[in-house]
Formats: sequence, structure tokens, C-alpha cells
Amino acid sequence: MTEAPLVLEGVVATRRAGGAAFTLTIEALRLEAGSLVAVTGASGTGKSTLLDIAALARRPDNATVMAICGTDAAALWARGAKDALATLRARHFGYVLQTGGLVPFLSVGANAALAQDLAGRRDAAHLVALAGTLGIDDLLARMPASLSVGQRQRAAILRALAHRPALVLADEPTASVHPDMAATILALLADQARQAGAAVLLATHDAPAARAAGFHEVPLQPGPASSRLPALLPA
Amino acid sequence: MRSLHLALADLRREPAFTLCSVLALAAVIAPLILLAGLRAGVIAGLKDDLSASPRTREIANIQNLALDPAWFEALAARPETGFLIPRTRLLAATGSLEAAARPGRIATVEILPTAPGDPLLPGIPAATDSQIIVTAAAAQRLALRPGDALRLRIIRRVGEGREVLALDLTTLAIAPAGAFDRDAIFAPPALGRRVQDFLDDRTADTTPRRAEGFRLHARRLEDVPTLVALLQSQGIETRSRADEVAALLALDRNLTAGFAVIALVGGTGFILGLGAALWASTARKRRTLSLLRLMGLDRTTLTLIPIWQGLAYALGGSLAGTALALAAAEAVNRLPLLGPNDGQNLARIGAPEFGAALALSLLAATLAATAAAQRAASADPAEGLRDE
Repeated sequence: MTEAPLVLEGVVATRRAGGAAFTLTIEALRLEAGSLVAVTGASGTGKSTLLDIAALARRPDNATVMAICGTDAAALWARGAKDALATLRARHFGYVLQTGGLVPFLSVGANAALAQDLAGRRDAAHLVALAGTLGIDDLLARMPASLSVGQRQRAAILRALAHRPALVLADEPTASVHPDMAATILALLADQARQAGAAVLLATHDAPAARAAGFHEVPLQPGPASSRLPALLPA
Repeated sequence: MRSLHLALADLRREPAFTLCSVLALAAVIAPLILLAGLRAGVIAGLKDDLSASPRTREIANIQNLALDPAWFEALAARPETGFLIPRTRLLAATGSLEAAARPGRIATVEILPTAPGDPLLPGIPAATDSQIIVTAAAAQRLALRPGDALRLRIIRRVGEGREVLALDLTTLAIAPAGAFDRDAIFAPPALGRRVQDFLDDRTADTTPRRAEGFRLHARRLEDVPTLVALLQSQGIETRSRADEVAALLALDRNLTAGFAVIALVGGTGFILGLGAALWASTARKRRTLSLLRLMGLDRTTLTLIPIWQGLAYALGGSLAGTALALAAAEAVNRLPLLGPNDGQNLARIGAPEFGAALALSLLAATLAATAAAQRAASADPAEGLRDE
């Protein structure tokens, strides 16, 4: 049986800013291959903190279970094995960020190829085919700065999926695009992730657009100086 | 190598900034290379002047001595010794030389010992016992050419009368003009000994004689003061150009020290300037570095990116700096008051100057990139997620 791309249980992370503390509690979150989950909530409810934890970019204060494709990430955090965590990210994660999150000094093709290289899955044919599906095969040699926002988001989806990751983390990927384009981008992301068998964890303000694209919405439950992600486990 | 690829890709994206950084470094490196070239040119020029005549390396005794073969063996074995041969008494070794083809034309010549490898007679083959090399002055006086027959007469007084030793000799070669200024002949040591034995009336005495002097040449210019000091410590007074050589060596040391101070100041500026540029660049690209960390780059690769960039700047700066320095050196060498002087360039920039500049630049660049590298290595992947 294939291991779940992401399993978080009993995770607590406290963020301090300007003397005030904010605590996010994740009761249980399990993403199976191909599942599409949108975490929604207003600004300051902990969406970014949740993504930081899921992306292995922030060490939680506590974690009962924290597993990435079967690897115990909590143990790696405990050992301070940051390069091992980076390797996990490279192999299993793809990213689509607010304005693409592309490396500015690499072309679109080189961005996607870098993700493949880091994952150890170089596959130029797959990269070109995916770019064709996303309608950006003629943009592979272009630098990110020369692209429109919509093109950048397509390029980001290419970079996120080029190395066949198990999980795509998307942070407000439609916040900077026209509402008409937002639906297209989310639909494209969801469709391509499904075809690739990748799970997607999306953080967004735009719950209707996420639902329309087929994402299962999980609203963060805000409290005083804290937020809670209710349990989301497969039936 | 991934880090090198990323570092160069980043530099290519900002060609104007990269070019400015390279030119800024070249502006520091070029004067240092030019200074090194001037130091090399001045010292080499003075050395060339001194080395032009092999007599610069000559050390001569100024009083008659009594030196045994063991003394000569010990001195010849020293690394500073280039050429050493015993010679006879200073004032006694003279005779009258006459060309067989031109009787009546006579030159009074000093008799100097010679042997293969004599630095005053480069390229002249070894003489047999009946062959001599005539100095240019004597050759001109007697209108001699190689192969001419000669008669050397030595006169000694016996009571009220005179006795003459006449030796028939052949001109093997004419010595180069600078070899010896006066009328003289270079002959194998046996001829000198025979003349002195005749003058001292020791023809029947077979006991080994001690040499009254020597002809000594140091191997290198720098060896002259050493040998003079050694001989002085043995109580042997000498005549040489050791003071000139010592002054040159002192000038070399002083110029080198002065250059080192300037290079230190320039090098410090280079490190601080490049270090600040790399630090600022790393700070400016912190989000990109964080994004790379988020994508899974390890710390080592991130650390190497600013180091490669520093090395690339240093390489470009060294090449551009060398080009600038070469152009400046050419201008300096063309200045009418400064050079070229007797074919010598005042500023000499060659492979050693360029090699040293490149090696030191790369070393300094690595040092300068250390702080930026540490900053790059600490890139926070969470910052990479914040794409705003």
C-alpha cells in the first residue's frame, strides 16, 4: 500500500509576532494520494502557519504524528536534520505560490528541470508534455519576469508537478490573478494533480473558487489568539 | 555542479550589476598589478645592467696570498661559487708579447689564468698549453687575429745581467671587449706557473707551490656579498662590486616591502568591497535563496552559491585588471622620460604578476564570500513560501 503523502496528528505550533503569541492546533490531517483539500479562513487564522508545518519549513512545538510518504518527519526535526528535511521536500513536494514562486534567474524550463533534478527524477519528455498540457510549451525558454501573472501561475504548476511529487502545497495561488483567471488556474491545478495522482493542500481566502474546482474545504476554526484545524481523516 | 550552475545563472540575469562588480574589482587589482610590474621592471632593469658584464660577479684579491689546494677545493664546493682558478703573483705576471708576423710591435701584457667555463670568455674553447686568448686591447695594439703566431718574452735580472724566457704561442681567440680592459692574455694555469717559476728561479724546485691569488666569480649577483663576507672573515681583502649588488638587493627588499604594504591595503579593500557586495546581494536575494531551500537545496549548495559568485567576480576582475595594467604599463614604457631605456621596460607584467594576482584574488574572494555564504546557508524555507 502506498503511504499517505501527508499525515499530521496532534500538531501544535506557536507563532510569536510583536510580543503576541498565536497557536495553531492541527488535530488530525491525512491527505491520501489524489486528494484535494482547501484550508480556508480569514487573514491571521493560521493558514500560512499550517502550510509552513506541512512544508517542513517550520518546526512544530509538538507533533504526535508527522509523516511524509511514510517518513517520520517529526524525528528528523527532533534530530535537527534540516538537509534530510530538504531532501524530503525535494522528493515529495511541489509548490504553487501567490505569484508563482519561480526562481527568477532560471527560465521556466530550467525551473521545472531544477525541481526534477532535486527530486532525482530528470524527465525532459514529461516536462515538455506537461508544459504542452498547460499551454505553455512555447514559454519554456522565457524568464519568469517576462511572463504575465497567469502565465507565471501555469509555469508554477508545471514546476510543481514536473517531478511527479506526492503532494502539492499551494499558498493563495489565485490571490494575484483576475477572478476569471482564478477559476481556470485552480481547475488546472486540480485537474493536473488528479492526473498525476498528487494530493494538493491549498490555503486560500477564496472558498467558493476552491469548492468549484473540486477541493474539499476545511475551514480553520479561529479562537482567541489561536486556531484549530478540525480532524480531516478519510472515511 | 548545481551550485556553480545556479551561481552563474544568477550573475547572467544581472549583466550590468555583474559588469559593474567586475570593473570595481579590476579598479583595485589593476594598480596592484602595475605596481608589481614596476617593481619587477625596476629591479630587473638594474639587475640586467649589473649582470650585463660578467665582471660584476668578479671578486679579486688585492694582496698576495698563500693559498693551498684544500682552500680552493673548499671554496669551489660552495654553491655561491661560479668560477674559481688559482693565479700567480699579481705584479710579477707580466711579459712582452709580439706577433710573429709583425716583429717590433710589442705589447706588455698581464698573464691571467683561464679554464673551461671562464665567465669572461663565453663560447671560447679550452686552450692548450701553447694557446692563449688575447684581450681586445692587446689584440688591437698588435693587430692580431685568431690563429696568429706569437712570442711571449719574460725577462729576469740575474746579478747585473738579464735572462729571457721566450715562449712561442698561438692566438686561440680574441676576448670580448668587456672581458678585461687592459693589455693581457688569458692562458692555461701551467703557463702562468712556468713564468713565475722562471722569475723566481724555481725551475728545479719540484715542491708544490701555493697560489698567490685567485680569479673568482660568484654564481649569481646575489652571491657576491656572501662570498666577499666569507673571504673577509678569512682575512682576505678583496675588490668587487659587492656594495652595488648589496644596494640593489636592499632596494629590492625595500620595494618588495613597500609593495607588500600597498598590496595589503589594496587587498583589504578588495576583500571588504567584494564581501560587502556579496553580502548585499545575498540579502537582496534572500527570498530566492529561501525558495531554493524550500525546493530542497542542501546547505552546502546554498553556501557555495555566493562563493562561486565571488570567485567569478575575482576571475573577471583579475582578467580585466590585468588588461588595464598591461595598457597602463605600455603607456608608462612609452613615456619619453621613463623608457624604453636600452631596450628595458620600466614596467614588466608577465605570467608571474598575473598568476599571483589571480591566485591572491581567488583566495581573497573566497575569504570575502564567507559572510555571504553563511547568510545564504541560513536561508529559511518558510520565507520561500511567502511569495508576496
